Amino acid sequence: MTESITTERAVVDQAAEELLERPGPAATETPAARRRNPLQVVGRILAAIVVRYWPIIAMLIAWPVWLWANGYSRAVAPGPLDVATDLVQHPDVYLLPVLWTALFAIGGLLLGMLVGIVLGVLVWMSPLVSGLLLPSALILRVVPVTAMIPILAALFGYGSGTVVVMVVILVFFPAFSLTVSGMSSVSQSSRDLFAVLGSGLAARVFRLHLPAAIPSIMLALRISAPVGILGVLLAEYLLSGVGLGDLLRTAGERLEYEREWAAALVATVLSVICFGLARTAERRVVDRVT
Amino acid sequence: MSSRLRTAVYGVAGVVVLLVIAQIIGTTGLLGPTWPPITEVAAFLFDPSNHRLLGNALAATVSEAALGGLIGIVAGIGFALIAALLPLLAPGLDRFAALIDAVPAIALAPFLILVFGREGTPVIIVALSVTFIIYISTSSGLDSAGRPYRDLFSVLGARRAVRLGRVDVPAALPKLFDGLTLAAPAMILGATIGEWFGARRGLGVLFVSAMQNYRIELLWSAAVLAVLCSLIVYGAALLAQRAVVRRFA
Amino acid sequence: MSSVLQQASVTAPSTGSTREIALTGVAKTYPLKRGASVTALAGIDLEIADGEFVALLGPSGCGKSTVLRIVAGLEQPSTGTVSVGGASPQALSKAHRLGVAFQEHSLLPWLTVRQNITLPYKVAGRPVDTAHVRELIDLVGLGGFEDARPKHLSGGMRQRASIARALVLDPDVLLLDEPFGALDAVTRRRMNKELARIWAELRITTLLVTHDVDEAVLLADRVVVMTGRPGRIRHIEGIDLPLREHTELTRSPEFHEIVDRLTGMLETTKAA
Ligand SMILES: Nc1ncnc2c1ncn2[C@@H]1O[C@H](COP(=O)(O)OP(=O)(O)OP(=O)(O)O)[C@@H](O)[C@H]1O
Ligand SMILES: [Mg+2]
Repeated sequence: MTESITTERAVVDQAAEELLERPGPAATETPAARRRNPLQVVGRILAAIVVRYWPIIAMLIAWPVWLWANGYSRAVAPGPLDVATDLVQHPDVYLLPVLWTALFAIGGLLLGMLVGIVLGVLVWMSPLVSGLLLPSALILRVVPVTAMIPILAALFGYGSGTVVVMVVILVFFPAFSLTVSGMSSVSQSSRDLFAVLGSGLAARVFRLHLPAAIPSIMLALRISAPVGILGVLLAEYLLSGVGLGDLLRTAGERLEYEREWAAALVATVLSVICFGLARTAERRVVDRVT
Repeated sequence: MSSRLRTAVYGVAGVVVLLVIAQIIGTTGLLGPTWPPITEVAAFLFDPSNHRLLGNALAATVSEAALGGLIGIVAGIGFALIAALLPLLAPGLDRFAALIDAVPAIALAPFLILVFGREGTPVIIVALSVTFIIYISTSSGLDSAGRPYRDLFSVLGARRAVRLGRVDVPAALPKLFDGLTLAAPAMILGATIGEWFGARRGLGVLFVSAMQNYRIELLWSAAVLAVLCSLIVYGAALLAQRAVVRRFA
Repeated sequence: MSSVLQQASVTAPSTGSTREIALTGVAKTYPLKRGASVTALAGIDLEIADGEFVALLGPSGCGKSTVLRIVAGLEQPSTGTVSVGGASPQALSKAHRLGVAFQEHSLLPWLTVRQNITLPYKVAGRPVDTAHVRELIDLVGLGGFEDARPKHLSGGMRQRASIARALVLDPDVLLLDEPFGALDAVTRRRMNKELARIWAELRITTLLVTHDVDEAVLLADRVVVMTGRPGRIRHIEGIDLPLREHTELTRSPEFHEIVDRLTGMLETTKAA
C-alpha cells in the first residue's frame, strides 16, 4: 500500500480543477463575434451565466415550489427571504461565531500544515521510518472525524483546545503524506546532479527535495481547507459553546429555523471562501515554483 | 527481499508498532483514563454481550453507507455521461459539483432533514459526497482518451455515442475505480455525520452517546469498527482498481 | 499510370463514385497562447486524381501531417478549400469510406489485434467479414498474434496492425502518415511490396506521408516535396519509370537518379 488515500484524493482534486477549466461553449467564439449591440451583449452574458450555473438556478426555483407544493409553513421551512432578513437584522449574532470558526479553522490549518511538513521531512530522510509510518498514517486517516471528536473530547475535555487538536490532526495527514510523496518525486537526473555536486543532506533537502515538494504541499493545503472547516463545525456542534457549529445546534434546539438556515448559509459561504483562498494560494505559489 | 515485500513488511511492522505504543499509553495511563489499553478494546469487541449493541449500530451505518454509496455511484456516473453527451450542460454540472464539495455537510443538515427526514439524511449525505467523487473521477476519465483515439473515431465516421461506448467509457474505467477507492472512507464518514442529526441507531449515534455516558471502551470499539469498514471497502475497491488498470490501461 | 505497380494484373473495382482529392489555396494557422499563432501551411494547391498514389516528402515539422489531417477532415483549413470526391472530407468518413493509419498507431489498448482490426466494421454497423480480416492479418504478417494486446507487440507490429485496420473496409481513400516509420529496412521493403500489390489491385486514391525517399519513389505516381515554416509545396515529381520488377527497379540508374535528386532537394530545404 504505497499510494495513500490522500494522494488519490489529490488526483480527484486535480481532476476537479481541470474540469473547471473546461472551456464553456461561449469560450470558442472569436473576439469579433462578441462586439455587437448592447442587447446582444446582455443576452450573451445571461446565456453564459445560465450555462455555468443552471443547476443552482434550478435549485433556487425548485425550492419555493417544493415548499408550496408540500404545504410547509414558513415556521418550519424558511424561504430565502426570511433567511436573508434574519441575517440583515441581526448581524451581531453571526459575527462572533464566524470569527471563532474562522480562527480555529485557519489556526488549526496552519499549525497542522507545519507539523505535517516538518514530520514529513524528518520521515522522508529515512526509508525505514517512512516505510513504517505511511501505512499507519493511512489507517489513522480513515478514522472518521465523527469518531475522532468524541475520542479527543474524552481525552482533552470539551473545550476549545480539543477543537484545535482535532483540526491539527485532520490537516496533519494530507500534509504529511503529500510532503513525503512530493519529496520522493524528484527525478533521478536531479538526484544525480546533486550527488555529482557533492552536496550534503541539508543542501539536498532545502535546495532540491523540499522545493520539489511545494506543489504537493500546496495541494495538501487546498484539500485540507474544506476538511478543516467541516471538522471545526462538527466539533463546535458537539462540544464547545462557541462558533458557527454551536450556533447551528442551539438555533436548531430552540426551533429558530431562520437562524439555523442562515447559520448554515454563512458556514457554506465561509467554507467556499476558505476553499477559494486555498486554491488561489496554491495557484500563485505553484506558478512561481514551476 | 523484493521491494514490494519490503514495503509490506515495513507496513505491517509499522502498524504493530503503532498498536504497541497505543497499548503502552493505555496501560501506563500516560494520557489519562480515557485512553484504554488496546487489549481492553479488543476484549470489548469480542465480548458476545456487546455484539447486539455494536452489531445493530454497524448494520445501520453500513446499510446507509451502502445505499447512499450506490445512489452516489449511479448518480455520479449518470451525470458524467450526461455531461459527456450534452457538452452544453457540462459547465453547470462541473461548478455545481465543486460547490457541493465545498459546502460542509453539517450546513446542509437542516435542509436535508426537512426534505428527507432524520432517517434519510445519512443516506443522502453519503450519496452527495460519493456523487461528487464519482462525477469528478468519471468525467476526467471520459476526457482522458488521447487525441489519436478521437481522430481515429472521427475518420471511421463514428457517432458521439459510439465513441463514448467504445473508447471513452473503457478509458474512463481506471479513473472511475480510483474514485471508488476514495469514496470508501467518505461513505462511512458521511453516514456517521448524518446520524448526528437525530438518527436512532448507527455508529455515529454510538460515538456521541458513548462519549456522553463516558463508556470509553464502547467509544473506541465503535471507532475501530468504523475504521475496519472503511479499510475493507477501500481494500476491495483497490483490488478492483488494480484489475481494471491491468485490463484497460 | 506507369509505376511499378502496374505489372500486377489490374482489376480495378468500379465503385462508381469519383474519389479525387482537391486542395485549393489551403493555409492553416494554429492559434497559440497570448494571441500568437503559428502558420503550419500556406497556399497549398494539390490535386490527387481518382486512383492516384501520391507521396508527401519533407523535413520534420513542415506540415505533412497537417495536410493529411485536413484531407481527413480532422482540421479545418484556415483559408482555402478541400474536397474529396466533390464533397467534404467529413462526408467521406460519415460514409465509412476513409481509411487512415496515423503516425501514432492509436490501437485501443484493451482490444486484441483482431478486435482492433474489426473495429471499423463495428463502428460502421456492418457484419464482420472474418475471411477478409484473416487475409489482412496474414498480409501484414501478424498471423499468430491475433489475440495479443497492443502492449505486447513491438512498435512495428503495432503499425502493421493499424495499416490492416485502415484497409479493412476497402476504403475509397487511404491516408497513411509514416506507416512504416518504426519498421526495420527489410520488413519495410516487404511491406512496401505488399502495399504496392494491394494498391495495384484496388487502385485506392492514396496519400502517403513518408521520410523515406526510396519508398516514395517506389510506390508513388507522383512525389510532392514540401518545405517548412510555413509549409509550402516546393516541387512535384512525376515518377515515370519503365515497368520492371521491384527489386530490379531499386537497382536501376533511373531510380537512383530520381532518388538522389529528391534527396538533394530535401537537404537544401533543410539548410534553408
Ligand atoms: N495542434 C497544433 N497546435 C499548434 N501547432 C501545431 C499543431 N499541430 C501542428 N502544429 C505545428 O504545425 C507544424 C507542422 O506540423 P506537422 O505535424 O504537420 O509536421 P510534420 O511535417 O508531420 O512533421 P513530422 O515529420 O515530424 O511528423 C509544426 O510546426 C507544428 O508545431
Ligand atoms: Mg507528422
